[in-house]
Amino acid sequence: MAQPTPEERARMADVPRGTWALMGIIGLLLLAGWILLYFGRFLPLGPVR
Amino acid sequence: MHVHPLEKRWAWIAVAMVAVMIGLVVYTAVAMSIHPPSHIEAIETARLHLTKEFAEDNLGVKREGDTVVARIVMARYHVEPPEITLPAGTPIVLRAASADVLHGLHVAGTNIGTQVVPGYVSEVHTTISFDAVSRVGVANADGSVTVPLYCNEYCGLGHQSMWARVRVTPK
Repeated sequence: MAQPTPEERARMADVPRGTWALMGIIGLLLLAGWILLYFGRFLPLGPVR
Repeated sequence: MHVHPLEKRWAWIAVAMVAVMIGLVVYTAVAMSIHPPSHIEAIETARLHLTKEFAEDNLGVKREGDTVVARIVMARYHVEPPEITLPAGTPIVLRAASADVLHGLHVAGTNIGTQVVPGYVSEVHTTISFDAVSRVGVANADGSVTVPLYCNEYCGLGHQSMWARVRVTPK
């Protein structure tokens, strides 16, 4: 497959600005959910050794 | 190799999330001693019933000093004894052995979960929270709560029926 031209690279790099915000929100929501379950559900059941 | 900028961003976000999660797990392991139970003790599976510890009349719950020790044997497709009583808020040790194949063990409402591997004794140390088991268990007339202890490792055609009762008494 041929490598993209500089013009094509520039066009591909010009992504919608809201994408970072959307990806960040989704990532934070996933992380928050994980933290809530780990510290809110798992750890309160007590350590097991 | 060309990677689309959006793919790179998703990849970095995923890497950052995994790094935070691993960091938190490592922190709780080091600072709070939260880690999977690790215990290696061999036992002869075929002669389990002839051992002093896992003979049928020695199974169940006993108080040994400040600790309550529960001994169970898992075999297709039952748990012996079928009901044990454990106190909440007290350090307990659960020792389990398999009489035949690989089993798993989980007590609802707690973090007790381990494989029971034939040829080895599984041992877990924990303290049961009465509030936690109350949320998932069945309340009894005497104030205790009953939760299931079930096999969570496929062991055969009767695996879904393999479970016991744990009656948790308040401290």
